[in-house]
Amino acid sequence: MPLVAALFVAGMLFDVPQGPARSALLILVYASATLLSALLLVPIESNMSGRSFRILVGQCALAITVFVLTTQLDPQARIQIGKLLPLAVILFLLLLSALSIVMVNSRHQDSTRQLVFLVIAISLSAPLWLGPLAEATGNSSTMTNLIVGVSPLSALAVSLDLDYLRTSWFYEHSVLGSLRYEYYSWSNYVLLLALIAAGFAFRATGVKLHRMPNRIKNRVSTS
Amino acid sequence: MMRTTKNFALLITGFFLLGGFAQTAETEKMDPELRNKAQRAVDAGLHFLRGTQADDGSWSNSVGVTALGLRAFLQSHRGYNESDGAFITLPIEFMLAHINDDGSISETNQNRNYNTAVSMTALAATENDEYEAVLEGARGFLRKLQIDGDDGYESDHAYYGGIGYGGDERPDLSNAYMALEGLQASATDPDDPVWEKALIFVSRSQNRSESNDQEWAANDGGFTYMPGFSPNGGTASYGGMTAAGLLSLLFAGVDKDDPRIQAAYDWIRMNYTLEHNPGSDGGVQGLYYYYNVFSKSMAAYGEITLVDADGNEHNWRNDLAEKLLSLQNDDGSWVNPDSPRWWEGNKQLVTAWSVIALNAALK
Repeated sequence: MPLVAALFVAGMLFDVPQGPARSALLILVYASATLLSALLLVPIESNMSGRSFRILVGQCALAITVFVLTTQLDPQARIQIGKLLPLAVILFLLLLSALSIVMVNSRHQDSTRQLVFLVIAISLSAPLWLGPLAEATGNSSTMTNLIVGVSPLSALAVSLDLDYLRTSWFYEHSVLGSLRYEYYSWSNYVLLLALIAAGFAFRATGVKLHRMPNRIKNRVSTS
Repeated sequence: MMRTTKNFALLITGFFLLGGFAQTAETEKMDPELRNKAQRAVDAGLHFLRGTQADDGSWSNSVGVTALGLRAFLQSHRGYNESDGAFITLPIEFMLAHINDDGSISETNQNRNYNTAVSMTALAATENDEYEAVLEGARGFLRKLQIDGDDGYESDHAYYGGIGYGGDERPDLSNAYMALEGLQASATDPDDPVWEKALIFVSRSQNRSESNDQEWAANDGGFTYMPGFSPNGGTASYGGMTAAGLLSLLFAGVDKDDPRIQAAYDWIRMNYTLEHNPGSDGGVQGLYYYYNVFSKSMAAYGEITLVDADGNEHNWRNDLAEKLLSLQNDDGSWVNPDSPRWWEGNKQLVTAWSVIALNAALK
């Protein structure tokens, strides 16, 4: 319910102007709001176990379901579910990766969660404040691609096949749209995020192994 | 018989005399000494381009830059064509290898309009009928890209008739002008509705309230980037877009005496300078874009001189040639060292633009 409220508020706060890409931009707003709110709202058990991780995966899936339903209920954001699927996959992996990091540091869960939230929020807005750095690098499209690519917003936009940096609002507020850049492909993002999620999930399992009583640890390692 | 022969001799003499006068008039468009220098600068620019061409004939691994490079060769005073060798045919093959199902010519989903439009202009410059089918496909792509009723936009919407980058992005005058240039170069039917719709959008990008129904429209006659927005703040007119607007109006078949064209021409006169891009932030952003479109628009407008705000008469060809000659690097290239915006940090693109600008001035 808090997530639904957060999405509703996000939809109200960000008045996406009329234009050819309005629905795609609204979806980006909802996706970003889902990511940030879920980072704050999804509970993570401090006593990690395989079951806890499965619950975490389920909660991420639930957040994505809420996101998908929200876009379908908003006539301005509604697009075919099939076209939304690539974005749902990216959003799920982003959320799972971020929460997996929190999970690994479950003993300092609150501070880790705040830090991850901050990093995601800053990187979401990176196209707005990293533009001058890209411009300062001159003709280096590699650097510009990197700057564009680090933002989760780019990963989400790529899923919708949207060149968001050249939509009205971004073009007016970020210099990146006037530079030469290429987005990384959807499959690259999926691979990277899946590796991050898997890596941290594995790390969490490893942490758990260290904390197991020796007799259980031996049984696990010999099986 | 004797009298007929005498009349014929007179006719021939008259013909050569007339030809001589015509030749003199042509030459007078630009200072002869400067013309020679400009031609040498073009040669140096083309030499740079040829030296930096990739094995597949492309430049910067971009369809757009490749098309501009090719156009620089084809329209130069050297009169290159496909029989001159692989440096001409390979870029064409590169472009043709990037034709998409929707008729666009682009290696990327971004910039599909720019890439397609400049490819059309380059392919048309080959004057080879074999590419007509490709051009027809590209025309279809641009028609579809144009925002109109099929996209849910009525003619009273600010975006109506506009053309954008090629995805779902908003339209702008820069994209529209290049699309119109491609359509014009590929001999699109003047009665095609694409022109009329484009004219609505172009007029709505001009700061002229008599012909622009947008509330923000001022009255200096210049053009802004798109209805309601200028990268230089508010809806300020600036050089690159005003030249692009003037050229777009001419492409769309508007008469030279039309008040919209006169207002744009007056803005160019009143803000005349080649030291920077007038009206732009710092004057350095989009500088070579400005040189390129300024040269083409002035050549299309057809006046040899213009009178600036102080009443001084300028031969724009001489001024442009002198400026570009002063900015050329030792290796024959040009680049904007002060701003990489709109790819002006890319030597190959900026060199192609500069050569095309000189080509237009030399015509």
